[in-house]
This record gives sequence, C-alpha cells and structure tokens, in this order.
Amino acid sequence: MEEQQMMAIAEAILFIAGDPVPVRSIAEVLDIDVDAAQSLMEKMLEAYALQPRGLQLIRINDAYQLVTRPEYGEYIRKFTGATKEQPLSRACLETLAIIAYNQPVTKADIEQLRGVKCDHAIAVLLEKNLIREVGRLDAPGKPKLYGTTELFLKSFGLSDINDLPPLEQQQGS
Amino acid sequence: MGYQVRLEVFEGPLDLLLHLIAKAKINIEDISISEITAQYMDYLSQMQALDIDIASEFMVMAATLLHIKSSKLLPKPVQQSEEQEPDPQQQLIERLKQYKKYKDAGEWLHERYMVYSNMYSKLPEEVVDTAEDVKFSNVTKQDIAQTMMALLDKKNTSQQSQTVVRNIKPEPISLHERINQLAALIVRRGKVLFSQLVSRKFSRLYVVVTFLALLEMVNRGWVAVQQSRPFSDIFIQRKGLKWKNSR
Repeated sequence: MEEQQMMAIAEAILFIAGDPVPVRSIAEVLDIDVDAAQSLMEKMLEAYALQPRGLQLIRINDAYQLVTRPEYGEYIRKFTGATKEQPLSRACLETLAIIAYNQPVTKADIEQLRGVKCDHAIAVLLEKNLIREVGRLDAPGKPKLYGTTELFLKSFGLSDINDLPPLEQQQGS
Repeated sequence: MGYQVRLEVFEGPLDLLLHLIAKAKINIEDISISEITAQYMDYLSQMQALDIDIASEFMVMAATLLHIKSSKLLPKPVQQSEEQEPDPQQQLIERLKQYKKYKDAGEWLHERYMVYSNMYSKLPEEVVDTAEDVKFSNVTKQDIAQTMMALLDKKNTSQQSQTVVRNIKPEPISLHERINQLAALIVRRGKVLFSQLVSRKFSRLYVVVTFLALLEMVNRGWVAVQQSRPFSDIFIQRKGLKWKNSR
C-alpha cells in the first residue's frame, strides 16, 4: 500500500477514535509492523505541523491523537459556549511539579519539599485526573505513592515524561 | 496619612523566606540568618496583629531560624573527632534551593497550561455494528399481515389457558459484569442519565447493582456524576474512562 493511502487510513482512524490511539493499533489495522507505523505517524505529525490547519497531531507516550490547535481555543469556546478552565493554583502547580519530577512519590516527601501540608492540593489534582495512585511504598504505614497521568502529559503538551525540562537551579532569584 | 498594611499570601514558610531573600536582592547562599530572621518574625507579627491564623509550619520555621541564630551567637564547643553534625543553616539553604527548583517548575507548568488548555479533542465516535440487524428486503405486505394474525392467535390461546403460578427467581447479576456493561455504554455515548440505565422494568436488585456499579466507576475516576437536587435524575459523564477500560 502506498504511504499516502496508509496515512489517510490512519487519519480516518484517529478521527473516529477521538482518544489517543496506540501505534500498535494503527500497525494492526494497516497490517504493518510497529516501527513502520511509528515512522508513518511521525511523518504525518510533521505534515500536520507544516500545514495551516485547525487540527494537529500530537503524540502522548506511544499513542497519537488528533486535537485542535491551541491558538484557536478561543473560537471553540465561542462556538460551544464553554468557559475556559480555571488555571491551577500555585499550591497545586508546585505539588504537581514535585510529583512529575519525583514519581512515584509519597505525600510525606512532597510535604517535606514544600514545607507545608499538601492534602488539599493532592485531592484537587486527583479529582482533575492529573495524578493517580500508582501503588504503596513498602514502608511503615504503607503510604500511597503518586504519579502523573496521561491527561497530565496532554494538558501540558508533553509527549512523554522525559519532555519535562531538566530541573535547574537558577542563581539568585 | 493612614496606615496601610498589605500582606502577601505565601504558600508556606519556604515560600515566604524566598520572598524575603528576593526582596533583599541576595543569593540564597548568601543569606544572613539574623537579618532574615528579623524580617520573618516581623511578617509573623503583622499576621498576628491582623488576627490571621498562623499555620503551625510557619512557627516551626520560626523556631528553626531562631535556633540557627542563637547557635551562631554561642561559642562552639571544640569539635571532637566524632561525626560532624550537619550545619542547620546549610540544611536550610539546601531546602530553599530545592524548593525554588520546584516553584520554578510549577511556573513553567503554568505557562504550558495556559497554552495547552486551549487544545480540544473529540469524544470517540459511536460506530454501530449493523451486521446483526434483521434484513427486511424480502418482506411483503402479506408476510406482515400473516405474522400479525399469528401473534393475535397466540395471544388468544394463551389467555384461554390456565393461569400458571411460578416463582420468578431474580436474575443474579454480578457487580463486575454490570461495571463492564456500563463502561462500554458510557465510552460510546459520553454521557447518560441514571434513569436511562434502569429505564426498563428492572428488578430492585438490578437497580441496586447498577447504582453500586456507578459508585465504583466514580471511585475509579472513570465518570463524573451530577445531581441537581435530592432524588432528581443523576447525570453521568465520561471522565477518565478509556477504550481499554471498557473492554
């Protein structure tokens, strides 16, 4: 099958799925191996980036998703009547940053780093599905361990957790 | 001129200390504990004067600062060859540096969020499987009439026959099964009313199991529910539920 045609099929699948589609599902449908599907999707991602479209292709871990371009969010809200989501509070952002860089991590570790209680921030992040419990630490009390979700990656435009910039210490302030 | 007090809100003692350090325009490494301690205490007393509750964490930090300050004033006993205790000031500086990293990372996340929260995706499409639909292509009017007659006959004969008393056992349905059913439904439809899930003449047990299944799905973060007032219908919306969860 020609590459152009395979891309068209993959595009149709992404449209129907809405959710991120794993590369291996695309490979299965097209009857090609996963590496070939991966490079096909990367080509398609570039093609989308070059064209002045309202949609773009994003990668989240090993899956691809069709989403609208962020610069047109305002028009989508105008059309749907939706309101813009409230940005996260600073407490939540700090907590989320600590979890993102140290996962899996316990509440005690987070509180040690921030110097304050984090129950509320953790509850909000769980509710928003940005973090989740990923297990329990084998230590007295078996404290819960937290990690980030795929929604976290998507919400912050990250393809995978390694896309986070290195934690750097800027001198002074 | 009136006396104006404006207190900024801080995310904790470390946040407050960073603010004081930034205000003094010094590097974290070069903090003068006595100066910072004075300013820190100043801030706490302003809070007290304004009758603001001071979280215990701020008090712990105050104690730490005072401890560092006092130990600097006292002559140090000559260190024996024993293990050297970690310098509390150095420890505090380390903590501040660590905290600042995550504070900056939080800022970075915030900026990303402002861009990427403008990105929208659509819900999965409901693709109906039509393979098992009945084919009506060869049905004639006569067929329909005959079928109707046959049905009426059947109804008449069943009415004439004797009443049969039977015990109808409740159909056992497992919670697990019901969760799978609901997940499949919700992943396709996106949103649904609770009344739609139990709209047919379901047994009480069935309704209870459906409700338990819903609670479990809320607990797993798959769906969000809304009820405008007690006893009104429950609006169920898909949240974290993925295709793979429903399989």
